[in-house]
Amino acid sequence: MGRTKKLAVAALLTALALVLSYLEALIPLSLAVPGVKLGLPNLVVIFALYRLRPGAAAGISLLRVALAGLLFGNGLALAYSAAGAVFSFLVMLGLKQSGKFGCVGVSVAGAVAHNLAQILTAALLLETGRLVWYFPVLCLSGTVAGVCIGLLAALLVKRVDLK
Amino acid sequence: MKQKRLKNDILLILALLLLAGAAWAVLRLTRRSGGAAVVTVDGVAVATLPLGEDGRFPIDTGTGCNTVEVSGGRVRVADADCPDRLCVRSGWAQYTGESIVCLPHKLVVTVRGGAAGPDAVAGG
Repeated sequence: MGRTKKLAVAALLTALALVLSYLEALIPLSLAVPGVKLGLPNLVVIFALYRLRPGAAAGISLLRVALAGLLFGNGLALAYSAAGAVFSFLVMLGLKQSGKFGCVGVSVAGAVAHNLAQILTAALLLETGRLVWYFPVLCLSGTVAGVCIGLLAALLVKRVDLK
Repeated sequence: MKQKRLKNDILLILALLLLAGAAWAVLRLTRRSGGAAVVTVDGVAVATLPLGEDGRFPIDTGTGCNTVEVSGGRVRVADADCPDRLCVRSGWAQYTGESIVCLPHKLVVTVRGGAAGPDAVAGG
């Protein structure tokens, strides 16, 4: 791929991740516990992790968070999702580079890391330890959502070749 | 190689499910019964209700009325004139740290530990 094509693909994927963020905001999954969600945008990030360079994948993830925060969220929501996105990306990158895990493992670890980072951020910002109660629920929901997204991502990575 | 990755993925998923279960069990086993319910309206504490003394307490929040009921060491919002009545549907709270929220009236009922402070071993 040439430089221009790489840039265009990364921009397209960023737009796609942004649309998925919007779509996800329309699905009210988190009625019982705030933070329960499918993590649709992560589909794009995992795909980018496998099909582009790590730098491009990181750029897509961060831009997605910043744009979604500006468009649909507020300052506080941006802080939560930025913490989640950064920590989750680092964990996914590490697991992917180790070569010991497949798409599903990477996705599951990313989802749980995302939720964990959000709980810790909330606990720091609200200065309360009570949020530990959310951990079991969010660990479980992250694992389930991670499996779903991981299976989808595996299909995408297998079938879509960018060359 | 592919087989090994699949195996690792499954092991990771099982480990995380186990972690969620273990965390839930630990939290469940270490929870303590509360000593009192603190009622706040818009962040200001308006009443502290010992959970040992049963009774019904109407709280005028300025934007509406919530009736807080204490019974048998538990607390709930028995009645409210807020539009969604989520506070009433939340049911009973009895363990330290649990809370009931009425967003429309900015009312929060939080269960605290015993009289000696939030960290004291409560329960009687």
